[in-house]
Amino acid sequence: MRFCLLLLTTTLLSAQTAAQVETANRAKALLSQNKFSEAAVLYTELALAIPNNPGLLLNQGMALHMSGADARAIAPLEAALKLNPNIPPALLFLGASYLRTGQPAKALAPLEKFTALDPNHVEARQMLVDAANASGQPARAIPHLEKLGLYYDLGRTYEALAAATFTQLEKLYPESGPFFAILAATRSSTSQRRAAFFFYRKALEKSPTLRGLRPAIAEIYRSDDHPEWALSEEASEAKLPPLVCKPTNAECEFNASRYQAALRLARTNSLLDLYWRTRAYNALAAAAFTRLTTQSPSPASYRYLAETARAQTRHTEAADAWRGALKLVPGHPDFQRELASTLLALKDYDEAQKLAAALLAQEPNAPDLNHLQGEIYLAQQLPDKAEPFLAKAAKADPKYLPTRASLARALLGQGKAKEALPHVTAALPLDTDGSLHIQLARAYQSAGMAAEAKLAMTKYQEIQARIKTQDKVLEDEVKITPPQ
Amino acid sequence: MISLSLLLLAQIQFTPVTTPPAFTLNHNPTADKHMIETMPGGIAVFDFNNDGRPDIFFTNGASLPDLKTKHPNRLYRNDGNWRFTDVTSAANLAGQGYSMGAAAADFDNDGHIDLFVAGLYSNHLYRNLGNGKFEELTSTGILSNEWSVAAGWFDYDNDGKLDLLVTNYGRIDLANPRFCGDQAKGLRVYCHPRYYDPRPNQLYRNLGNGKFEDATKSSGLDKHLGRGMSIAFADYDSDGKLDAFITNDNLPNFLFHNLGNGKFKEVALLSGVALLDNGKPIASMGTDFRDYDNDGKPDIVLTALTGETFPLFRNAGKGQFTDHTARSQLARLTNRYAGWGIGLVDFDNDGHKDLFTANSHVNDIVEKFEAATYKQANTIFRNTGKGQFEETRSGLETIRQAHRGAAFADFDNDGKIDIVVTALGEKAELWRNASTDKNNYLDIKLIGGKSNRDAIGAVITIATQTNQMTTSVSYATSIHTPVHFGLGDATTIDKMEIKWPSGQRQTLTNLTPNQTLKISEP
Repeated sequence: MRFCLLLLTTTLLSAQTAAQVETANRAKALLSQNKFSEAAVLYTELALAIPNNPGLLLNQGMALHMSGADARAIAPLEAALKLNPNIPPALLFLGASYLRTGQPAKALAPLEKFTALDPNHVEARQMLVDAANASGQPARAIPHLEKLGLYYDLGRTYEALAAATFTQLEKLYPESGPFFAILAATRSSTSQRRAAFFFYRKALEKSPTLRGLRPAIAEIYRSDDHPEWALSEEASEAKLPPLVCKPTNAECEFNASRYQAALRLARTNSLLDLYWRTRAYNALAAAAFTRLTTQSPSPASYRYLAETARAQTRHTEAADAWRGALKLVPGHPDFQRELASTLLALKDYDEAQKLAAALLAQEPNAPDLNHLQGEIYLAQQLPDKAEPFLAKAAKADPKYLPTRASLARALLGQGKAKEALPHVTAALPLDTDGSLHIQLARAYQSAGMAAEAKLAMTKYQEIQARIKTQDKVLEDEVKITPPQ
Repeated sequence: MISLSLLLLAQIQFTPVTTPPAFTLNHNPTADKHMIETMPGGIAVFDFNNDGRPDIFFTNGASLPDLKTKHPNRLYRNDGNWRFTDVTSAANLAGQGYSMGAAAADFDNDGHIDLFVAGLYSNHLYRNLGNGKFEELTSTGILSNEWSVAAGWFDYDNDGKLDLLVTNYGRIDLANPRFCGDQAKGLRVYCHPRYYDPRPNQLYRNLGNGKFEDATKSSGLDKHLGRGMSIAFADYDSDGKLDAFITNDNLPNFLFHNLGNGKFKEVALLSGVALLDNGKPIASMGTDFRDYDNDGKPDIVLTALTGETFPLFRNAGKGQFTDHTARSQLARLTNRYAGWGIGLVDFDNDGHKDLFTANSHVNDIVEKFEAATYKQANTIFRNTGKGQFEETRSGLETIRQAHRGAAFADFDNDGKIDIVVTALGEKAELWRNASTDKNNYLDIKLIGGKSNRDAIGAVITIATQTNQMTTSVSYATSIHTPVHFGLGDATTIDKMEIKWPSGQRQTLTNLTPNQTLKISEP
């Protein structure tokens, strides 16, 4: 545990003996000397001798926690709190022990209570955030992320909540108007105008009275140089019944940019509540990221910029952002990894190579770094150099299929068809475009297994046929047509 | 030091010709970034006036999107001594529309090489009248309903008349160009090829008298949709019928196996030339279909984009090709280049065909997105004779441009093959082969009798070397010149065999090198 040892002020025991006082003093001294295991033994003795003493139970639990015996620390801490529910250290240590023992959901309540009693305790809030995320209850992390000013995490948390809400919307109301409207907004936010147009149109088909769809379509029309079509859509929107905000509702609050209020008013799993909740979470995420990027540059803000750029394949910007982050935290291994991967995507093989080699020197057995190094060599058409790194990564983590696929490529590139076969076969679940089946067919062919090669080729053709059908659907999606 | 000097002397060397044809390729770049702007630059090298010197025809663009103002195509007459005269007007070859590729051949067997020009909804067939003029033939049956990029002449039905295969790229909507790039930052790029719906290529059977029959459907080509770029022909399975290889942009390539009954079977996937060993389609551009390893079987090379390598498919016999890109060292050597024009040519006459590529990225602002360069130098990869290539410092590396088409011919009749290259928005480059080797050569000009007069499809063998008569090579380009053989230090040629398209075989013995030999079909 990262926080400092609390010096205990255990209340004097009413029925103490001189020996017990002596034991208590020895235990206290051991604690102050960081001899937690030994202290825990003494406090356990005392707690047994003098039952129902919250101070002793607290000290016993704390000593056990500090000695790493978290599983045993939980019972005395729970017992102490049962006797006195408002002992802040007991709440803190209990939360920490629950976290350490992989019970994050149980850590939440004591940590929340602790932060209410001690609002300025940064580490407790951080533990609380960890517990909320680990227990799949990210909403409970939000107020603490706000307090901590962790806007990157806050934004990502809101995004996760939006995604979870949208998943529920999709499950309960598949292919509904609001479902398509959210899809459209997502596409629009990543500048995929034509796809956004397609989904807005689908949304309108299903929910012609849903407000906001036509203005969004109008915006796309304008950016596509069709102002007359945009005007037509806006005129149609004006004909919709006016929004009544007395009493207020989630839509009204959302339109007024009061997203938390919108969330409070959209609590059910009705179609519209899920819709407005998804949108409110997305808006809150955007607001968090805006706060993040308008502050002075930080590792988190650079990370956000880099990840955003990478998601839009703007690798040059992503590399600049990772470099910015590394200026603030030189040598940060995660950022260095990210930069190396981005340089590979940028085809800046020399720089990627340098960075990967430096990282590998520090962590020669890291599977991800060996994978990265192998990929860099493969991208340079040096399969012989790639092979040992990819083989090492595959051995360390045989279930990571991208490594198996890359290793197969490296082996095939050297004419080692038989060696490649098990790896390309293992990687087949990744084959979305048929390319791995082609590799498999070539490997079989080189290995003299003609029948198997033919079978793999047939599978490739099946995948291609499926892709062609999907492409046809996509083709329909990409046309921006006049208002209907 | 002596050995080093000898080594240097033996290197392939090129020097830029100071008086090249004054042609500037106007691709008409626009803010709308129409894909077509990235793709012109086809060349035809042919001796239009039968004076023994190869002349140069350049295709050119037009205004976009209206296509109304033609940037004239140009024909330059080779007057010798590296002097070229613009004879476009006299020849009536300025053309119309946005031209992309050219295909030269004597389609009417009258002894004068004719010209087909492919373009955007604008295909034109010009008959060479033999007096320095061409006449455009109308009502030929050849359509102008596609975005055609390249074309090639071959006699697919062996009736002695050359037929025409035209590659088509895809559908393009010039009036409503899609925006690709980063709108917020105002960075517009050329859209990915996937946004252009693939189209079938077109086959026209020569009926004689300037008439052609659309054989696209009857031949089975209509069933295969691609984004066709370039064509090369060879009889890869030695069954006496010319087959066609077509590069596709970001789709598997086509290998049309000529079944001999007027039909073709597309066999690229099964033959191993549709895709690289990694199974991914690439931006296949230019191509050549020629025997690179002197095993008597034509192999396939092609250009592609940076990171995709310039693949080499080695003909393994029995209709199968194997991906030799890595084994030939081309994977490693070409990985950083993006290529267009390409040719397997023996530049140092050592008996092994070297590889030339005209290079440039397709994206004119690629530097903003990745560690690549838009304008690149051209490259020659020397054939070591052991199935591998090595990069040379041939002098070509001095000029970086947005290179596109490339053609190869002995413009100064010195027995060494020179190079002409187009570049977007730039003057054409003419490179003189200044290699100082003392190797010998033989050029063979075939005149068909029963076969088509150009003898396209004839295969010539000298010792272990094989070459063939074809005019379809490189990117959107056509080269109608004698068949060239480098002979190393051989001072006599004991035996030369010709397999004519008609099936006739002819053997000649005790030939003298360093000449252009004219041989008529017996």
